[in-house]
Amino acid sequence: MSVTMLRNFHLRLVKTSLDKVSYDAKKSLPTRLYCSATSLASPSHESTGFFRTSETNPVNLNEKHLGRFYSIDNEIYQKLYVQHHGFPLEYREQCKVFREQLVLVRKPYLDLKRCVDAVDLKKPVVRFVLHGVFGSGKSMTLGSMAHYGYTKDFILIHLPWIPLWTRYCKEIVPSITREGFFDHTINAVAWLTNFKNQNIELIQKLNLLTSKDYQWSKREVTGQGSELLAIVEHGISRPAHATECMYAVFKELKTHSSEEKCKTMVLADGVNELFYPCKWIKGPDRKPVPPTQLTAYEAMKDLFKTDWTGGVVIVTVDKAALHPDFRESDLPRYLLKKEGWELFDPFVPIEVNNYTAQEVQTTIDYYLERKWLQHPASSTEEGRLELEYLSTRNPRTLMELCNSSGSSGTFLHLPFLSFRFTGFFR
Amino acid sequence: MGSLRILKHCSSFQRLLTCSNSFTPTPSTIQSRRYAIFPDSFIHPIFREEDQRKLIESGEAAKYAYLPVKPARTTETASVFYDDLVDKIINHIMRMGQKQLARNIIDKTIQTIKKVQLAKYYDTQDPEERAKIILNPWELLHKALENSKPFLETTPIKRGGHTYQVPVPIREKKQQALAIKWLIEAGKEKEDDMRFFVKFAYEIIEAANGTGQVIRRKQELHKKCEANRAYAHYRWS
Repeated sequence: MSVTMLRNFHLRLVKTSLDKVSYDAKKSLPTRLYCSATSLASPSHESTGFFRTSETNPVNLNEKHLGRFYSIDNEIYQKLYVQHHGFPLEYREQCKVFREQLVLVRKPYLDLKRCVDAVDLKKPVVRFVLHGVFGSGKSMTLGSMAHYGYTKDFILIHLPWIPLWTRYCKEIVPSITREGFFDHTINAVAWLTNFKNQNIELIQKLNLLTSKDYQWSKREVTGQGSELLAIVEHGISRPAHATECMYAVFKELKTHSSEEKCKTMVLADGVNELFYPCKWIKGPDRKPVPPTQLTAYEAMKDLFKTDWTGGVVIVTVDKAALHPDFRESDLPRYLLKKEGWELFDPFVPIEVNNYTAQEVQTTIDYYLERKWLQHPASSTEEGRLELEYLSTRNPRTLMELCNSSGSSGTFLHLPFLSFRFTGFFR
Repeated sequence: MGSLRILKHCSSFQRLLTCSNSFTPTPSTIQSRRYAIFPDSFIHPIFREEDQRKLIESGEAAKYAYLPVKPARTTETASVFYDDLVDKIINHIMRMGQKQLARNIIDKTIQTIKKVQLAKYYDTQDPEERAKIILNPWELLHKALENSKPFLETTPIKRGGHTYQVPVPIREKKQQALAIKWLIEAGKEKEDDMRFFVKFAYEIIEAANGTGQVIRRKQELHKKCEANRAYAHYRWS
């Protein structure tokens, strides 16, 4: 077996294992991809490659921009994503290094966008469930939708990475109003702050008022007809009431949307966490608290019901949201369990797949242009093919490989290994 | 070409090519205990594609055609990103056989170096200044190692009832081992809230620039040898 035979063998492996459609790894890579690395390596910040689009408005993105990077304005990025895990941690770190925020326009994103456009807001809410293998870009797709919703004047109820409420929960206290329930304090305050940050202008513009009285304690009342932001501000200043305030905000927005005073977009990442017991969250008796006894979770489940109109619900189901014991399948039926399936049925499933060969090469091009891929071999044809092959075209694995350019040249960077070893969203 | 055709039928040369691993004419590869079962007649597999190509082009491949070949080690891959030195440093960092952990540390070190250097790069506006910044972490690593290598050390030798610290030259293999050891030790001297890979990355960058505590340590050792040069003849007399 000669060297070339070996190479061909590898290529055949790529062909057969990665794509059912007949695909020639060498042919599918346009030659211009290979020459781009050097020609685009100019140090200037404003350098534009063919893999970028000048379009910054997510509303205008369409098939023309498929497989290209679009940039998010820094102001909007700081507002929507930085404060509360709007995008995965690793992505945010990269943005800090590259000093710009680029998101790849992919098919599931465009599909989702078109679906949301087509939704009749006078009918009960439509639920979209994103699913796919670990690291395929579900959270990124969901995060990008926040930008779209923001531009389209939706009020965002953005719940990034729901396991933050249990696995990385800061504090829970027994509920004052509901017997046997537990309230979050720090988490709820953080969420309310983020909610205020994201939507303050729109809420003030729409002049949303509360529809009923809220009695927080003997002396603290938010009366009917006061501003919606009053509830939010009360929650921020009183952590003990923060979860109740959150619930109240959800209910208010549901009523306002049903009365066509505003449009609401609910975005929730790792929603299957709501239906699984979590042993990391413990009550005063040091026993795990079941998810059915968390006020915040009840509030979220209330959002996903179809008893309101004038909004859309977009959620993801993710294996990584669960304890390693429950990671047998990536499909919604398994991840949502019977309870979640019944809550979400009927929903629109949207599968987020791994990158195509073209998308892998575009991402590598982008990294080369930002000088992130520093190994001299990574710009060669062999290097590109190796990255594609080792990553199995999984976006997250590709990112991890590119972080160190396979410094140890290993095959151990497999997705199922990496998400146990690396902290996820911490 | 004739010899190549013959090579095709030779089973041991096929193994030489298909074995996914390293060989090593380089003195830095230490024979592990597992390899002790192979007699000296076994050669290390030539796992790098470019090495194989070179051998075939120069016609030396025929020399290895009928030799038995050892199995390759797990880390010795035909990857284009394979680096002998990085592989070595991983083994130095590794404790209690936790290789995956050591690999992750090195990966994060390389990532940190890139982050630090890119931040410098983007902060600098002058193109000439920019061109001077080395962004390639592997280049920095090799440079740092080269700068940290000591050439002399002292060894205690007893002469006439006294023990003298006698300066002696160091072998190349030990030079590398010392340099890696010093870099790792420098990385461990840090505050509790700092991670090893961050400090390690900064040490590498400093050593590559010819500054930092590793370079100082090397210079101190050299100074000591210089001071004891009067005892140098005790090495052989």
